[in-house]
Amino acid sequence: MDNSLMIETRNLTKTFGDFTAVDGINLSVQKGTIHGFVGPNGAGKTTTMKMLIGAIWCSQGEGYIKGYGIGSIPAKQIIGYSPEHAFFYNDMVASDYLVYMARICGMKRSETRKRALELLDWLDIGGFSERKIGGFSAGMKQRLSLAQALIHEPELLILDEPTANMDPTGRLSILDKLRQLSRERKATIFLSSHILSELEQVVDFMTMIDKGRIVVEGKMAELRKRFSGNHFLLKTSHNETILAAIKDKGLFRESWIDNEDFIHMISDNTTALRKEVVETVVRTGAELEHFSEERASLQDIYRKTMRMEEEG
Amino acid sequence: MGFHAVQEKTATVMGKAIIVMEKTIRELMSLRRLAVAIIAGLIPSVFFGTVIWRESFRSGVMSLEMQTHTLVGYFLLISFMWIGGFYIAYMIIVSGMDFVSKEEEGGTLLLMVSKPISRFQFILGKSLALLLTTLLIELVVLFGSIVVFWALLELDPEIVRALLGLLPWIFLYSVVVAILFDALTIAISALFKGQVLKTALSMLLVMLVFGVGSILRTVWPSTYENYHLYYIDPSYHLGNAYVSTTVQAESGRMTPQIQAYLGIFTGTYKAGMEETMLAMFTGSSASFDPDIRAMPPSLERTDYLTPLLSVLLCLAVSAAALGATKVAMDRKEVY
Repeated sequence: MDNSLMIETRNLTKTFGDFTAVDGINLSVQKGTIHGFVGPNGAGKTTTMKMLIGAIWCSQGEGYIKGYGIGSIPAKQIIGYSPEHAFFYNDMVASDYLVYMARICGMKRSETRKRALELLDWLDIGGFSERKIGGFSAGMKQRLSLAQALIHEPELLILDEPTANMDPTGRLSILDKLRQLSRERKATIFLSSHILSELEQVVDFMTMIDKGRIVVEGKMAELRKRFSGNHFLLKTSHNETILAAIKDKGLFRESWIDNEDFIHMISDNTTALRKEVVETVVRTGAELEHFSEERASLQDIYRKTMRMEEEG
Repeated sequence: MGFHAVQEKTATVMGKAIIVMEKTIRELMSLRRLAVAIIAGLIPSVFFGTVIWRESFRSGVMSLEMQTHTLVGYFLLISFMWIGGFYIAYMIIVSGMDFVSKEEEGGTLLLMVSKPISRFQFILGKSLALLLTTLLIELVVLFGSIVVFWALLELDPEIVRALLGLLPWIFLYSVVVAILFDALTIAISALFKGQVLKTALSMLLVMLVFGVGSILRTVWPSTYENYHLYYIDPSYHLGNAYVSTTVQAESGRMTPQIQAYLGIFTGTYKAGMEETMLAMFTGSSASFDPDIRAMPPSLERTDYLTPLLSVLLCLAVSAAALGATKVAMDRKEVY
């Protein structure tokens, strides 16, 4: 067992009759990282998360949370979980609910109320601490769901669509708080989201899942590079001249100039191309305005991966 | 595992269960629920106190001793049949039948199972809350019934004292009934889904516990004895426990009519057709007079099993039900 891993699964599988929802996934989530878990609807994200928290049992395989078997009490002590759609005891007031959850997590009664109020404040719903949960909006319930996940200061947060039901301001605020938790408390965060543009702002690692199988995984920086497709962007004062000069060397397989006067070059020989660009610019005396390697966004990675999956 | 380790483990298990219990008690002790439960519990006492006995008790036709015997006897019968019987069973079933499904369907169980509390601790906490609140209401209803009789029948203090003397023993018996129905109800709640199915099962359970034994004993009395069917007859075990508990009270002596009724319903007394007819048609307060030998002064006990064994069997069934609950909860998949 790898001590650097917070979540580790081996051949984790879940079947419902003939349908395989999760198909033998081997998940590795490093301690202290923010790990994105993405995939289309029905890919098996929520089922995987529910197996990790011990709400449902795996049909095959095994999983560990910091070395403890998934579903065990020590594993649950480490986890804070927030589902996509959280349901609460609507007749309870928010602070009482958090106190109850904190005590279930083993916190001392004397510490719980202070902690509950602090958390509600931190999540910007402090003004509603004595209100019944039944009267909360969907966004407030989402924040309360995060609060109950955080109440016992868990080492691992498993968050299923934590920004669902929130407006853009709320979503950004929650993502900021997740970054803060990772930075200040070194918490490991394993989260799913459909809003990839927001997710990519916070995640260090990413696992993409489709039809119950992992299709892509790795460090975000490496994935960005891997999926960039050796795509370079160049802008100079003499685009046509430069492009013609480089073209003669046969260093790229595809090129075009876009509406904003950027030269796009797809190359298989990136080192030679970089060198040639610099030399050509110097030789022609053109003014260099921009030269970069295009980095793939999470959306690009997702789109390409799903296209490859469809094409088999 | 040493004694201290066991003690520590028990404390840990109970610690989390107690947190759930406290919350559930707050839910179960709502003013509306308490009012409905107490009123329902007092209905028979109010009915008998106003409609059936008011005139005979106030007219002065009965001696103090006869009044005491009559009221003690019928209070024991009402307590067995209603307050410590159907009432306690229904109160537990109505409140506890949806304990698991309500959390499951309402989505609250998902967050609970993600927390470091075992599913059994969770259900045990709820079960304990139901047991404690039921027993508290039971105590109020038992005491309230005596107050109702006192107020409606203008009872002599000596009769009230005799009734109060029964109270701890009836309550002790109620604890056994409450434990049994609490465990069975929690098991139904964890094992089955669907309101109709659970309601049907609960009704069947009540009939099985209180009714089937009487039918077996009446229709096939020899089969009942020859095949030792009393071992699997809950009404016998409860009756055996009840009779043996209440006779501990100074005032707990039953009249033959009451013994005959209990014989019919529980099989604890040898109540044949003759005793049954006497109890049903001449079993009024006036019919009890040992001097005129309308009935023997006391019916013979069946003594199939010792009362302790009956209580232990009830507790064993409760433990088995809790065991089934644990297995069902542990295997449950929560979405």
